[in-house]
Amino acid sequence: MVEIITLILMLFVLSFLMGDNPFFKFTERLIVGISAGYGFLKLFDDGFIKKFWIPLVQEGQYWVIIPGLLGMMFFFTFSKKWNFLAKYPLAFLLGTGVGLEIGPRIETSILRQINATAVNFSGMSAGQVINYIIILVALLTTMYYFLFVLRRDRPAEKLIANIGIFFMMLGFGASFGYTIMGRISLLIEVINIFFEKITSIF
Amino acid sequence: MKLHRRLVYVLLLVFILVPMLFGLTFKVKPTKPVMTFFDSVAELSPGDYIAVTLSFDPSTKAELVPMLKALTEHVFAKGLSVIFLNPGSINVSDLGFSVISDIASKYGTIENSDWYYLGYVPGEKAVYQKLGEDLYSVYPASMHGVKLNSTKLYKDVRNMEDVKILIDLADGNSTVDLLTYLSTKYDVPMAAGVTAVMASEYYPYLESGQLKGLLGGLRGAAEYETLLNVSGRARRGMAAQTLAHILIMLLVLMGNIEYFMAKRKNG
Repeated sequence: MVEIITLILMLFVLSFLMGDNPFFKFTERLIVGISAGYGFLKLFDDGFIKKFWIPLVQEGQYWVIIPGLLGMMFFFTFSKKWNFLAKYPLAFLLGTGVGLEIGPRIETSILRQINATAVNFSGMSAGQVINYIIILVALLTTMYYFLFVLRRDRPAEKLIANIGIFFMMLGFGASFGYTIMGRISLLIEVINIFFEKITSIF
Repeated sequence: MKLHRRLVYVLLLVFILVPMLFGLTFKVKPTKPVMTFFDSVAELSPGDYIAVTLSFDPSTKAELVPMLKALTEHVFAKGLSVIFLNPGSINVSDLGFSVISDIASKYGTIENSDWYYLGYVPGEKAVYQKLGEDLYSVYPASMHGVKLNSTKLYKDVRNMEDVKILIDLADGNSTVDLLTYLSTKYDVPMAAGVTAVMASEYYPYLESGQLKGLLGGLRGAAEYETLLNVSGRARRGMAAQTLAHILIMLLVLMGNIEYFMAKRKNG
């Protein structure tokens, strides 16, 4: 029975290729409803029960009342009179989020990346040296393109910016290629599941 | 010439169905990012701990479950102790557990002894950071409620600094977040398997050595299966993938030729 339902729903979704229709709309809403229900239940169990109720009631960890109350203050967002109270947990989240984020993010995504660009060529093969030079040229020309305060009147300046655009186009092309690969993988999986279900029914 | 989009769908279906129906297979040559990923697992000794975070939704299982299967086969065959967890995605808990427990029964490995499934806890970035300090303050119990202080894991691992490598299988930004809050801060070696759409974003982290290896999409999973010498779903899908890519390249070329011809015609 499960196999038949899977097959029917799959065909309903694929029917979108022929244009929007009630079968597709039904399946679309079903997915949204089930995902929301599943997400809510998991969050209730893994969040509220395991992280708040059990520590408070069974383990006597009374300090969880503070974050619990802070979290519950979000519900004031539904009240016109008291909705300012919902801003306090939001402020807490923003403050801790920014505090957590700034230092480690600079270290991971900027400093270590700069460090990786500044390499010592000694002991490298010719191919590796060429690769690093290409990376360096791509980095500098792309960054130059985004320095909007500079004028680009002279041919040399235009050339540098155009080289930057060229490297960006290569990057976008690679991303597009990967995106196609991802979408085709999904289609292959759908066809695989389709055949599996057909086989299990008959 | 106007090519109706429904004809494109039919052509795509034919190009994918034919290799699948006739069992066509193409040779898959592993690339360097996949080989370094494989080697960083292969060089570990039996009993070493690794952590695998599942940070994807069922919608991307086509690409990431083949990776999870290949990786789980590899780590169980090597006798590694594995901590599976999914703090970055709430929807993958049951899917991940069923995939892993199927493979575990094949290798005779036991849950809460050889491998642990810790599941989801809310908090994401704060959780990532806390994993580097004290695993048990975030996960006092496994997903199925087994208290971790009664397991071997509790004696061997205090936090993520005690695992040999952290592997993230992701369809979103979790890899960068784990690099930021866990790997860089606590010096935890890390590798990642990501969807094809995400792969190009992670090459800078691979080049800088912040990632020890990278699996990109179904192709990455197929390369991993090749290194493991198993014929899984990813490897079997590569022929269909290749033919579909050839079709799309032809369509792009035809579209461009059509565009330039129309431009010339119109002066």
